[in-house]
Amino acid sequence: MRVIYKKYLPKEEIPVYDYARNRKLVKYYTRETMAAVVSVACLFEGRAPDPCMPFFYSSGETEMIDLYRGIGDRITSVEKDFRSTWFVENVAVLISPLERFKTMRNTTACLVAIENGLKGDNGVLLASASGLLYSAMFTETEGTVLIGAGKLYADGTVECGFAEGLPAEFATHPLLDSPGDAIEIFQPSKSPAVWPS
Amino acid sequence: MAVVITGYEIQSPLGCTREESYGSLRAGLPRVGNIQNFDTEGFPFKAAGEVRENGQVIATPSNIDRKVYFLERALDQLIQNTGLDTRYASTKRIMNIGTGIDYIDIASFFNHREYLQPLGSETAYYKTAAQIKKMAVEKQVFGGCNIFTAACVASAQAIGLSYRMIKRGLKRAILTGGSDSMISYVSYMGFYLLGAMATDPNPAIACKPFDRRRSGTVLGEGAAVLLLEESSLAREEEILAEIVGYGCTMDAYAITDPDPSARQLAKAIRLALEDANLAPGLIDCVHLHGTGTPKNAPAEYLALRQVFGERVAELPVYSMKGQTGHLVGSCTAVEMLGVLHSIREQEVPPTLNFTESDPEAPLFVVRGKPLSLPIRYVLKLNSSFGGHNTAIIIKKYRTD
Repeated sequence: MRVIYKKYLPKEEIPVYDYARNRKLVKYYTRETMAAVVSVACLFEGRAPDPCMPFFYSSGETEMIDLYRGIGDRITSVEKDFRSTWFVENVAVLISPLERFKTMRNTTACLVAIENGLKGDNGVLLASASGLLYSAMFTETEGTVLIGAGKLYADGTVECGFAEGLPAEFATHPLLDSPGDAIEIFQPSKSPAVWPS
Repeated sequence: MAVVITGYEIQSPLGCTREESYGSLRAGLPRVGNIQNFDTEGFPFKAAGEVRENGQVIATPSNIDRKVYFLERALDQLIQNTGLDTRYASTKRIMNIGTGIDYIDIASFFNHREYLQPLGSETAYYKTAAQIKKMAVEKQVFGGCNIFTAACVASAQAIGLSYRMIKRGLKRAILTGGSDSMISYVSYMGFYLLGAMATDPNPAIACKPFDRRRSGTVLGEGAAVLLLEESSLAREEEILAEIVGYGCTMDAYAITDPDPSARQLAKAIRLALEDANLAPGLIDCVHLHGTGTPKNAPAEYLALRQVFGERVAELPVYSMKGQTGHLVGSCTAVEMLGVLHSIREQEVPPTLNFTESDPEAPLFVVRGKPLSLPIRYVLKLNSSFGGHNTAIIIKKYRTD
């Protein structure tokens, strides 16, 4: 079992350009995606993962409210009562397609898959520790499995963890039947005895 | 031992009960119209498949995400109609649900200047996962609640894991499926800005799956939940069908477009066939993703061609999206109604708004009226933004 966990503070730079092979895609990256791409690159340390390796990822129940706050900040005229025409003329024009991709919950998993050529069995979850572990346990593909979780907080802090292991290794994790967020699987404070340091 | 579907409830443009939805499907009436759920004055495009009850579009109660509300309505029906709560202890019930992006009541957000409030303030922004997990507790589902979010295959992946859980020996009742609604200001406009929306101004015929003139998709909304059980624990008279195979792959090609070679979509089909231990020749019909977008149909055709060879010309296919629109995070779950219909009625429904075959995707699309034929195995395919592909094989129960 190989495990990695990283945490970046709100203003801390994530060295994504040191690791990303598809630099043109970085425009689609959120801070969570950046942390995930860096973490996976560190986990594999230059090895090319098997394209058939199953990959399951759980994003955090994060703060997309930032998108709307950002729009609010850029609005110069606010009508007293919300109207559809006002929305179309003042808000919709501020929603860029790029931002739409960033709000899709599977964007990080897709970009990690593209970056590493992962084409096998997969699943994308939201805040689900149990589902992530069961997905890894019950994959039909032989060999090792990659699981990961990320969480982006409203203040810009981001946490990210990945593990490569055999399905049976995930079956004994204490969070297997937990209702908690998947990032807890990797947090040293929550799973100190499970993962090697 | 078989993995069986013993309950199915739905809230969708087709109706708010299973029987009503079967009726709408069979009648083939279009369920896409101009949006009534919110004021669309000034919107460049207004078509959507909304959930209606007694002819009226269902309004969203305050303090709940619209898609979570649909999920709750479907779950209540399922629990009531299956006697689930008397047959499985609460710790033996699991919920695996596919869904979409978070919901914001944008009118309230701007009317109350909530964007000016400090971080962490109470706002009209609803976190979907938190609401679904809370609902699972309220419905006495204590065996786990897992939420899937891979866009258009979210509910397929939820159903896929549920199938694997039971197949691998978890003796549980699993409530699975999906719920989604992007029929709100921000989600609808955001999807429009992605450029995937149809351009036909007539909402009823805007989404034309597989048709040569197709220009894009139309959004729909709704929820569908299935009860999956191990056959030995199920009440046989309630078994609707059996799930016998699941395959899932990733294009790893682009965030926006499907891989035009369709190799990974074909591989997902092969994996499902291997899982079911079936030869391709035993598949009787295919319920495709069929979004109505220009790139979807050729990719699906190529995938079928790689697996079924020349037989693709005579393998009947169907897409529900011409009738309901694209339900994104719940589309597989809602489209399972079509699969169950095919198994129950032994027919492939016609795809609404398909009239002209596309030389780049010469599929055998049923049109005009249902095609009757013996159906034992149905292949259900879905793909998503980001490149996920899923294939599920559903079998008529006890046909060996």
